[in-house]
Amino acid sequence: MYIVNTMEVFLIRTAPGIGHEIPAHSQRTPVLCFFHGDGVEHALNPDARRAWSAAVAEAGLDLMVCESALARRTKKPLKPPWRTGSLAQFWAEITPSPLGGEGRGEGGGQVLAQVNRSGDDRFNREVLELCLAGAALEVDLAVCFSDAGLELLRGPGAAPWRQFPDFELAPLYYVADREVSLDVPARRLDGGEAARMAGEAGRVIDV
Amino acid sequence: MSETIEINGHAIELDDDGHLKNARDWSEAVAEALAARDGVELTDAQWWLIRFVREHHRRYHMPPLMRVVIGALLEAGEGEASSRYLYRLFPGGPIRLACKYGGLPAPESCV
Repeated sequence: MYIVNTMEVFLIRTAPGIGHEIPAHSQRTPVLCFFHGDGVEHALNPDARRAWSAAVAEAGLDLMVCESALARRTKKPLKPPWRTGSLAQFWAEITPSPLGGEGRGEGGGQVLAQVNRSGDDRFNREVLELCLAGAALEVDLAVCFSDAGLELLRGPGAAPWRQFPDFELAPLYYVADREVSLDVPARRLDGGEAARMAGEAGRVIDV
Repeated sequence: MSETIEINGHAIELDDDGHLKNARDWSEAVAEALAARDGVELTDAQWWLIRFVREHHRRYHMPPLMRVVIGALLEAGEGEASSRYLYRLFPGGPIRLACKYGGLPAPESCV
């Protein structure tokens, strides 16, 4: 789950029955659920469709389905409450508008992705893909790792993250009191610097 | 039974998307045979992209972003550094087809 200021965002890329539950929701914030990869099967499977539609009625979820992944599976248009959108549209909806005055500080329109945990390969891949999608669309993005999130920058699974510094896709930071050994170059921040960066960003995504 | 192509008397298995089932089966002759199945005769420019994508995959375990390829084109002085140019090389999707002919798995996401 990702919390984007006052918006919660769920990425669902596995088929119904493989790990993704319908999010429990406080009803205090809008929730955007983006279905991509095999996750689009949720919009096609009758049982899953019914369950999600009930959740929409109860909690006001916004269900967006990756249009490319859907087109590879069916030609039929989806009916509300489902809607289709591209990854570009997804990022546009979670990124602060440069004209909208939503920036909270000097960081203006910068999106700060905070990665403070790691998980199984699927989870780690989703975090990577979310960040790469932003980078692909040239979102003004920075990624900051802390706590267990630092594990994503260690070992063989860290190799894809090297693209960020190698091709200047987005700056990588990590939060620690002292220098630590990582397999991907990242700049260290102490707790105060990290808090300042989050305060100045236009939007913060907590993983 | 899965589909195969035959190279020098050896049957090479393909998956449902027409990609190699086993990346170790790849060779330049295999790339040419895979492209020929799609009616494509590979040019030098297409070969540059296939080799770039293969090298990127080796280093980063995934295909490159389009903006990375465009940056590399600019640096190498190869062709025109634009997505339009890349789509002229492979109208069906430059990264996807470079992966296919390069013996790599189909890209998992639409990034």
